[in-house]
Amino acid sequence: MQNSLDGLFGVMGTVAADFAAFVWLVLQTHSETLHAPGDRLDPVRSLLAMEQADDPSVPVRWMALAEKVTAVYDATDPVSTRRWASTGTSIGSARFLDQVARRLAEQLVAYAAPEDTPDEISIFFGPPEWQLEQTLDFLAEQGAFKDLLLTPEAFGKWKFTSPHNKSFSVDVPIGDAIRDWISGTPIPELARVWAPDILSSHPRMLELTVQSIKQAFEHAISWTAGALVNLVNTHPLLTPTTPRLFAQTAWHIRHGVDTEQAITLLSSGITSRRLAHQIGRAAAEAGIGSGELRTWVADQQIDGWVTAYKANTYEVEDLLDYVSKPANPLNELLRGRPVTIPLAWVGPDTGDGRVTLTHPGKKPATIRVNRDGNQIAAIPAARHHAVLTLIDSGLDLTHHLEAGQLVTALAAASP
Amino acid sequence: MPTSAGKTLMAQLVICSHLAQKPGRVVYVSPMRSLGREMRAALRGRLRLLERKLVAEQPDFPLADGSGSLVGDVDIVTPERLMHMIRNNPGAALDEVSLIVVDEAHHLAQGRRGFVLESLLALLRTRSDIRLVLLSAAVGNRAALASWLDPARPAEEVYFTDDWRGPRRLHGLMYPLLLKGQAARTPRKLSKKQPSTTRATVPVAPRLDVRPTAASGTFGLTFPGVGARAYASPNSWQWKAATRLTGGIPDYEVFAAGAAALTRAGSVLMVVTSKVIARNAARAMAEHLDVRLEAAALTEFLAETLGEQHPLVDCTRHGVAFHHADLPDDVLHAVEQGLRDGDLLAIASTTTLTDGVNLPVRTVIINHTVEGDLTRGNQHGLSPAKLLNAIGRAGRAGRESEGWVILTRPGPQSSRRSPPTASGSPSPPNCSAKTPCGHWLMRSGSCRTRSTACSA
Repeated sequence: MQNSLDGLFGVMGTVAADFAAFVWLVLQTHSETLHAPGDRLDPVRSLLAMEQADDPSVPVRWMALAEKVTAVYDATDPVSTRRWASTGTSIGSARFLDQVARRLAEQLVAYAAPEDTPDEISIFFGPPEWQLEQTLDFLAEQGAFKDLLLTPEAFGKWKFTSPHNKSFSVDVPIGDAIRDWISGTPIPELARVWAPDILSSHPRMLELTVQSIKQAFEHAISWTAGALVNLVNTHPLLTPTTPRLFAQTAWHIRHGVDTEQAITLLSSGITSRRLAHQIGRAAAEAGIGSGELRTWVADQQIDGWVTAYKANTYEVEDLLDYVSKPANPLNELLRGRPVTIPLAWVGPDTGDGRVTLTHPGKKPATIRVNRDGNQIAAIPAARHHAVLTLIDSGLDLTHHLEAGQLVTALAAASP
Repeated sequence: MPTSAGKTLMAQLVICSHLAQKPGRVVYVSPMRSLGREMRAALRGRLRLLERKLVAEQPDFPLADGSGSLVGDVDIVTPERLMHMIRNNPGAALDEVSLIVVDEAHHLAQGRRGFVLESLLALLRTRSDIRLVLLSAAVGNRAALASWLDPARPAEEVYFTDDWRGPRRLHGLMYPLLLKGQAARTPRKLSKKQPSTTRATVPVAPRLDVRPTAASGTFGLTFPGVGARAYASPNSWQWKAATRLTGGIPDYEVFAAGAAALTRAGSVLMVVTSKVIARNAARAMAEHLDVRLEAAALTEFLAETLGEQHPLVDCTRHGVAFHHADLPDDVLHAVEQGLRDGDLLAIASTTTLTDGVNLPVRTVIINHTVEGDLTRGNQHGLSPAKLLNAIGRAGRAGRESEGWVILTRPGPQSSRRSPPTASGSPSPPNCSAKTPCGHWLMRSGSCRTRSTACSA
């Protein structure tokens, strides 16, 4: 930067790049705030590091860098300054991604409906959005994923090469790999698809596959692809009738699933990709949208999760958390009111009367409702945690079956 | 507050209390994804009782528009994520937020990620309507930090500070001990580098030295031999790095054998320098342990997720795992849960697992260079904050009454220096000490200790 202000765009992968991006954000925020008080670089001067520096020359040097960033910012057109502030990358990477976005936007414009064609859908409902599959095809055809790997944020994150063994060197095209990953294919199967037969089941190849997926898909590529898709979809070249790329593309790359329902599960506490993928596919086939997903999953009960999706202990715990309804049954009990819980099923010819509950133990299992040592009903998954809270409270409780529901009360208060 | 004093629990109480009494949303910021995962699991149950909800995780793009996807009362994010939200739409990101809790705030001092947190706080401190709570066990200048966040507050003012810590901690040193009396000497061809014609093959065993209190002597325990090292010299006083021949058992394998023995007393966390060593150390520990039935479900899940041949699968079969940033999130989550549930006996980890995560670990073994440790050369070492957090995993409040912290060394330490003593512990009535695996340590005066072998 000593020779040219354009040197700012080459500052990448260091804390100086992060500092420059912060200064850029401060300048952008100031420009968007009406009547902002004080000097626009005041937030930079008040960083903790500036206040704590023992050597006064240190803040001076950093502020000199801030001034140079300011000069570049002022020389950049206002539309670009705003767009480059949004990516979260270095300013150099942001400019590069915006260049790629422009190229993609130019291509997208060709897909727009002709100007003389009335397009009522676009007028009333906004621009059309491509589906995930079409977006992936387009990005791969345009070499966008390869471009992402050129940014310092993603450079070197997609490689199947072992530094200790040259026989582990496989070229896996990123575009195809992203599609394979998003299809929900398990990692061992991906290793088989991506590597020659001899290597695919080798422990090192499995490790390289896992490492590349983690570094590229779960972090670098999903982050930069998200920024790129956003830059394309908000590009000034696009008209109201130009199709937009699938906005959630990066989220699917991040999680490696292909249904909206699976994404809903993974962003709501389900940690297992395998489980989310299976439930997501099943829900999509059954026509269950994300809004009805929680109830639909809850109604399958714990036994159903184990049977249909082979859910293990960890996965059942996640699902129980997901389907549980917010409730505080203790509050009701301590106010002297009984708590009524609907049941998942009640055995035929079961009459009202006193029942007992079986604690499921450490591992999650259906809470059984018993009479005379035999199970006569089951607590539904959606109420599992509420009933567990009652049992674990240590309160002296009585449980009754009344009209097919479980009624719990404090022992002293019960009739 | 020190480690294991209940900071994470306090964070939960602060959040719940705030939600119960004041309007507005809460944002919990954790630099570590593992800590975020743990907080998400812990808060979910508490919020359910308050009839409140966690905000679902959100993609970076497109940003939530507030039309439904941001429904919830507590958002759990990394500093990068919150910075991203503020960068793109500061109004929506902090809309109705009245409390922000920043956990592990000492990450401020960490290179690039530290700057993200610092710049985030620099933006947040201008919002007087949002209460900021920073938590850390490793911030020395907390008063200066508080007055930076709120310049209206008198400089150096601290309302409350406390050094109470739940579990008693015992410190020890572990090193590879050469069993010199069992050395075998054989002839060898001399070389330019090693002019000796004798090759001495010396068995090596993990050795643990402990000094329970400042007033007591050093107690030593030698575990069974685990391998051998060869030296180009017939004289035992010359068996040092300079005469060591290539091959032989590496340090981490020796420490892994010691760690495996210590699992008899409770779970063990071994903190190592790199991902590769984490994997290798876990494998070495697994070799010393039987197949563990309790870990069968976890092993089955990992075999399905990563492939039967992945090294982690065979480790978990024996109740051991490794944990580092190159493993998928669902795998890390399962491994953390496996240790919490007692399915796993030991984990070898990089520092991904040491910052604030509430793990029921009995013994922490630090096999990692430490900043300023001249005996390990000028390698990149654990910072004081990271070291504090790593040893803080030993003996968690409410779970353990005592925790062991074991530092590893390349060799026996000088007789002029003794191992560190138990922190804050009362002097025991006698001079004996019990190892975590239940074996009594024999008293020894100095490095010329008479060893006792542990059959653990």
